[in-house]
Amino acid sequence: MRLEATADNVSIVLLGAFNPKIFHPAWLAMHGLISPEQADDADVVIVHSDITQFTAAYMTFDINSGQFVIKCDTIHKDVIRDLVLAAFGEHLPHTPVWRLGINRSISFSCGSDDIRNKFGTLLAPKIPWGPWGSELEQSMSEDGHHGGMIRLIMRQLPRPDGLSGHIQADIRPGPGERSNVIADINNHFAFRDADETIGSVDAMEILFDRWQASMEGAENIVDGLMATMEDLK
Amino acid sequence: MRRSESTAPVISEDDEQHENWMPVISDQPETSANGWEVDSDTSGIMAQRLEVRSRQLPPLQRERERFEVLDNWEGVVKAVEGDFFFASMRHTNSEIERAEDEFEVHIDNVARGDRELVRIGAVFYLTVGIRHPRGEGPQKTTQLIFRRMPRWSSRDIARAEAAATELWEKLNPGAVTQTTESNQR
Repeated sequence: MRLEATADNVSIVLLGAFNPKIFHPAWLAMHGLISPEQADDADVVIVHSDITQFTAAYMTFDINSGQFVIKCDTIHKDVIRDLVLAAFGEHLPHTPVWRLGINRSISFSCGSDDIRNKFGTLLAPKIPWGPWGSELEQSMSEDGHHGGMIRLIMRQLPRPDGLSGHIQADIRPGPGERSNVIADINNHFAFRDADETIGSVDAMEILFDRWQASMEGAENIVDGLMATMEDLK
Repeated sequence: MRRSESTAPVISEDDEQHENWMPVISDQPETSANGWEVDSDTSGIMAQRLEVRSRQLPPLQRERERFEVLDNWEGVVKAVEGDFFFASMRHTNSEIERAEDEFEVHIDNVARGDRELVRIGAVFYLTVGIRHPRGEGPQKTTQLIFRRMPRWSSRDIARAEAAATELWEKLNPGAVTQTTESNQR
C-alpha cells in the first residue's frame, strides 16, 4: 500500500451450526492448535453451551451457536488461517458451515481533518441531497461540530473469481485523530443453504484457496482509496 | 428473528477502543468522514443493534496492550543441532523482494510450548517491537511465533495434484495429449 496503515486487523467469520462449549483453550491445546502454556495463559471470559469468548495465543475467539469469529491479535495474519483450517479441516469436519467471511480492516490517516472532509465529500457528495445537502455543506465551513458522511458500503457482486458470494468494502471515519479512516473489507463466500450443508469441507477449501487473494484484494481496495485521497492533497 | 447472513465483522478491531459491552452503537463512528462529532444516533438502526449489543459481554480482563512493530522476519528451519537451530530468514518489510539470510537461533528463544515445533521445514515469524503495557513503560521485546500449519489431508493432496496437472496441461498441451492417448491405448 502507498501509505502505512495505522492499524491492520484480520478476522475469519464462519456461519454455521456450532457447539460453543467445545471451543475451550484446553481443547485447542489438546489438539496441538495452541501450546499448553498458551492455553494456561488464556483470558477466558466465558465458556458456555450458548457462547464462548476468550483470548489465547494471539487470537480472540467469539463463538455462539450460529457464528464462529476469530480475530488475529498479531501482525502475523496467517495464524488464524492455520488454526481454522486445522480445527475444522482436521478435527471438526462434520460441523456444518454455510458461509465464510475473510475480513481485513485497515486504518489509515488522511493527514489532516481538511483532507478527510474532502475525501468524505468526494465519496458522498452533498449536492444530490438537495437543500439539506446545502445545509450540511454550510455547516462544514464553520468551526467545531459538523455532519457529513459517516459510513459508506460498496459491494461487488458477482465475485470476480466466479465463486458465490460478494466482496464488500465499508469505509468510515476512524476513532481518535480527526484525520483517521477505517476500511473494512469483507470477502464473503456462500456455499449451500443451511439445511443442505453437511460439513465444513467446502468452507475450508475456499479458505485454503482464497486466503492470500482475499488479503491482497483487500489491500488493493484500500490502496485505491489511498490514491484517491492523496490526489486531494 | 431472522438469522444474519453477513460474515462481515460486527465491529472492526479499531472500534474496540470504545466500551463495546455497553448498550450503545459501538460500530457507529465517533466522527464523520467530513464531520467532527456524531455522538448519538436516533435512527431505527440503533434499536436493532441494541438487541445485538445486549449479548455482548464485558471485555477480556487483560486489556490489549499496544505492540509497535520495528522489524519483522519470516523464517524456515533448515537444520536443528543440539540447542540451536539454523534458519533461513526473509526480512518481510524489506523492499528487496527476496532479501534472505541465514541465522543461528538458540532454543531458549522459543517458547517452551513451541519447542516441539522446531523441526526442519517449520515456518516461524520473528518480530522485534515495543510493547506498551498499560500502566508500565515501553519495553523492547522480541516475539518468535511458530506456525502450527494444518496437516494435508488425502483430499488436499488430490486437489493439489489436480491443480498441478491442470497447470502442466496448460504449459505442455501436446505432451499431455500424447500421454492421454498412450494411456487410452
